Amino acid sequence: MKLKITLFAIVSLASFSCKKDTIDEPTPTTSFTAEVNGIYICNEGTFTDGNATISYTNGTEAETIQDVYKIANDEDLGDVGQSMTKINNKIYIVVNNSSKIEVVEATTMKKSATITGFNSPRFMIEASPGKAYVTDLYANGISIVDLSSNLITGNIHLNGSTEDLLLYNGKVYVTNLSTSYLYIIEPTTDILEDSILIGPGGNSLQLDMNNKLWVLCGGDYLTSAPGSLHRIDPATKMIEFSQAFPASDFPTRLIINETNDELYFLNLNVYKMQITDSSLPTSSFVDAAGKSFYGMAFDRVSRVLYVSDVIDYQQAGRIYRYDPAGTLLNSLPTGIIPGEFLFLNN
Amino acid sequence: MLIKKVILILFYFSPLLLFAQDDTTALQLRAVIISAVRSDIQPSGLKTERPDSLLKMIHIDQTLGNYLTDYSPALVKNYGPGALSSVSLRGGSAYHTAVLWKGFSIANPMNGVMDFNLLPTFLFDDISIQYGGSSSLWGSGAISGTIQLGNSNIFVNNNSIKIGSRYSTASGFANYAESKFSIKNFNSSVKLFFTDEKNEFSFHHNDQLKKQVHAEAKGRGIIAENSYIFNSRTDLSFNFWYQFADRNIAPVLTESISKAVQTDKNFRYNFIFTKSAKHGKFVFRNAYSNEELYYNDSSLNEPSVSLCKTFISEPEYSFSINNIHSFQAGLNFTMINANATEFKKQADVIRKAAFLGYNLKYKNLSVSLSSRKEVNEFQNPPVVFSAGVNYKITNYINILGNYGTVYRNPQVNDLFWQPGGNLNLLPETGYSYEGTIDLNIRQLVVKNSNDSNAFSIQMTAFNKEVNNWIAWTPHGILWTPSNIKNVHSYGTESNLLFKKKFRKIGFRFSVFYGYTISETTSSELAFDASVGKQLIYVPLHKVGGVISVSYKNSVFTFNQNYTGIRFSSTDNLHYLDAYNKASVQLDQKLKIQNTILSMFIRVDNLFDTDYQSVLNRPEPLRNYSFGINITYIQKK
Repeated sequence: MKLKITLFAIVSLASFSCKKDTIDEPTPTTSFTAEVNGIYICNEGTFTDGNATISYTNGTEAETIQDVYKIANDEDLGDVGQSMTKINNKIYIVVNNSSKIEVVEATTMKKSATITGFNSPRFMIEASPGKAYVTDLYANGISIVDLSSNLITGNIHLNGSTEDLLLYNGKVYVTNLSTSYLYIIEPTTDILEDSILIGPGGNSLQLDMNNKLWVLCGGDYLTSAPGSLHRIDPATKMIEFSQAFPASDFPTRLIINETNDELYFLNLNVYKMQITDSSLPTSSFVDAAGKSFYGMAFDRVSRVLYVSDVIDYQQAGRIYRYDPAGTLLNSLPTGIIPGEFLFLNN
Repeated sequence: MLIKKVILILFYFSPLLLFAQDDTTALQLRAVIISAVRSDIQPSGLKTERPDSLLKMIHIDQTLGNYLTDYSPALVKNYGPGALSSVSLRGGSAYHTAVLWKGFSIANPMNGVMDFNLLPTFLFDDISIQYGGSSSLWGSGAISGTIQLGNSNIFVNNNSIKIGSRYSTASGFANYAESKFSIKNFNSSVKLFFTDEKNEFSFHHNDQLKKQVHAEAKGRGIIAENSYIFNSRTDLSFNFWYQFADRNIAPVLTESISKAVQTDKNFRYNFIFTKSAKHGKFVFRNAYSNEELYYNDSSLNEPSVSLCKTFISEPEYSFSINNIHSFQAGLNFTMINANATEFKKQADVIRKAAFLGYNLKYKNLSVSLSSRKEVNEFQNPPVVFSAGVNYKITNYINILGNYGTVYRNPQVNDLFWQPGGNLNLLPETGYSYEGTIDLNIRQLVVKNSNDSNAFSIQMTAFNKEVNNWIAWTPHGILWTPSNIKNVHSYGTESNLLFKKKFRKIGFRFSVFYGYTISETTSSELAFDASVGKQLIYVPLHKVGGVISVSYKNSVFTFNQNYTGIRFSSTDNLHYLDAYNKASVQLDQKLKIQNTILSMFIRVDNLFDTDYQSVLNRPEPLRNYSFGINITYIQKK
């Protein structure tokens, strides 16, 4: 009998666990209003997990708030928050794998409309007053959106994965991840007017102080075609500068400073070059030092460089703020996979 | 809701959990176990589970993934009916559980994952789940455990044919047929199945009732397992398994549509030649598999096609000095030819290994030692070994213990996928140890042994560590696999089984409980907040149980299980809710001379629970299944 009781006691004790199956939830923030110099970070979230979010900060940890879209609207943003574009007093949040764009008020994040009908939207630009273009990964074209009705009114056929856009001198320039061309669209007629041969995998473009276009190409990792950087005179469509990266490099995120004379891009590390340089930089401006740099942007008012770290793509990321000399100022928490930035006062 | 909680408390509060270890009811006149020397010398000391006849009966129309979800502490990631289902034991990854058919690994060497929704329970008479590390016997990947499948080639008195069908309101039709016969020295078991599943089940999303779309799945397969006995010392087993699955991949809840499709086609052959002598046994085992995987969706410029051919040859020898000491030795030669749309060229991988083993059986003590060394041109796995002990203290108390070192080679895709494949990857390595107390309490209270009566408890504590854990991480825009972290897993598993037959009424009650902590202990990634956190999708708690009442040819079964919260982000800031799931089933048999008609009706998700095994992959609400099968037995 004693043996039985002893055995029962041993078994009972052994079967109790130490960790409880509960989560202590933090007290939720219930309201939100952005400051004039506020910054939004678009966090993609894990693909298909539907956990895209928008973070907000004024550059300090005390004023960094997560998931402000949900705070404002009491609903999840969707799957893969790709980019944000500010047009007038509204922000258009492109949610890639949910095939939609959420239209929100700039300082409160309150939703006013949803634009649907896309395939896999990526980036948006106001091509002409009241009209926007939205690039797409799989649609083989660019959607035309009427900004007053928030409806897709047309499509510009363009094979491949259209990516970044830039409006200059009445033309819209579009990069394409799948081809080796920079495309030129006339926004008054929505006609694809011309294309310029650059290199495979055009992912980002900027306009410098001399009104020259800079296009960064990430290469083609399937064919091992290298990435490249090009400077184009939009008036003549001639390529004035063209340099290839080493075969194992896949550069992304070309950005420019507030005086439009210094370029930055990501190639594992952060690199910086002057628009007058004759060759690509060989040493990094900011070394990643084990971090997984993913997104980058330059605050043209505060002159602070923002770089995001996605860590393992399955946890909350961080952003790092650097001064013009490349000195780290601080780092701030974000949502999962911080990718794009929007500066309210830029 | 109250009923659910009461029932769960009854299960959970019973701290004595029992596990069914015996209870195969197959007729055994001349049991010829055609397996492997290593199966004969299963490392002592590792906890092993085998579903009894009741559990196999109520799951005959389902998959092995369903069985493991309901009746074991295994982590099952189920992407929905008809979709991918992966299994991991004791907080490991899906790559750390080796799945063996006739002792040969059947996980695709390219991605290393076995899809358990492609394993109908019906196909296998013998299902054995062995927890713990056994790399010294089974090689790469046997870190958290092994699941061994097969039909035992038992020579029976009777030939039989069985055909059956099931309709489920959640999935659709599943049909199966089986033939078992033996003629003189030849024995054959042939099993077929055909499934045509619409998977148009109902679920809730954003407070709306919805129906699943684009989740159709069609499958067919045949397993033929044959053996021929030349004489009392020589026999040959030759086995064939063909399986085809054509599936639409349903959209996740965050997508509006999906156009993804996947086709799996597998051929597997093996033959096992056994020659026994007075003091020894020689076994020559060979296997060949040809696996094709086709995947396409709108995001791909062209479909992704993976082709993999694997050839394995294993000569093994065991000999006994006397009834106490025995030794084993063997070699393994594995050749893998793999190709994929994403490979630059065909990948050829050759692995060779040697293993040694020693067994001691003396009175109530059984000890086994084994070690293995593998060589291949890409990695240098360490020599691994294990030591196990099984000691019967009394008639009702058994103690088991095992310590072993383990390893896992990178998968072929990890090495050759372009872009990103990394030929410099190190194998994952580690150790695993465990201890089990096995109490046959019935022996304390009942003098007469009886298969219909049992009362036993089993408790296991385990601890393991895996270093150089491989994971794909981003390097800029390029993903590549690296040895990025170390993981420590530990916990307890408890089982209780109580069976009692009183006249014509039988009662069976079984409960299991698993408590698993599996944490990242270090990481190569800077500022990685996953250090010190639970791995994603590994629940801390999993508990479940079965109550069954039988009367003559009727059996009523109720089962319920609770799966605790699972984190969906590596920093544990996001999680999936815990859930309860229950089902009831009524089985009725009707015997008419040589024919047995069996029917069942089952209600799954009895309490209409909204739950997800994987984030944003919906699972069916309450649904109903009806099944029938007819067995004709030809008595010799």
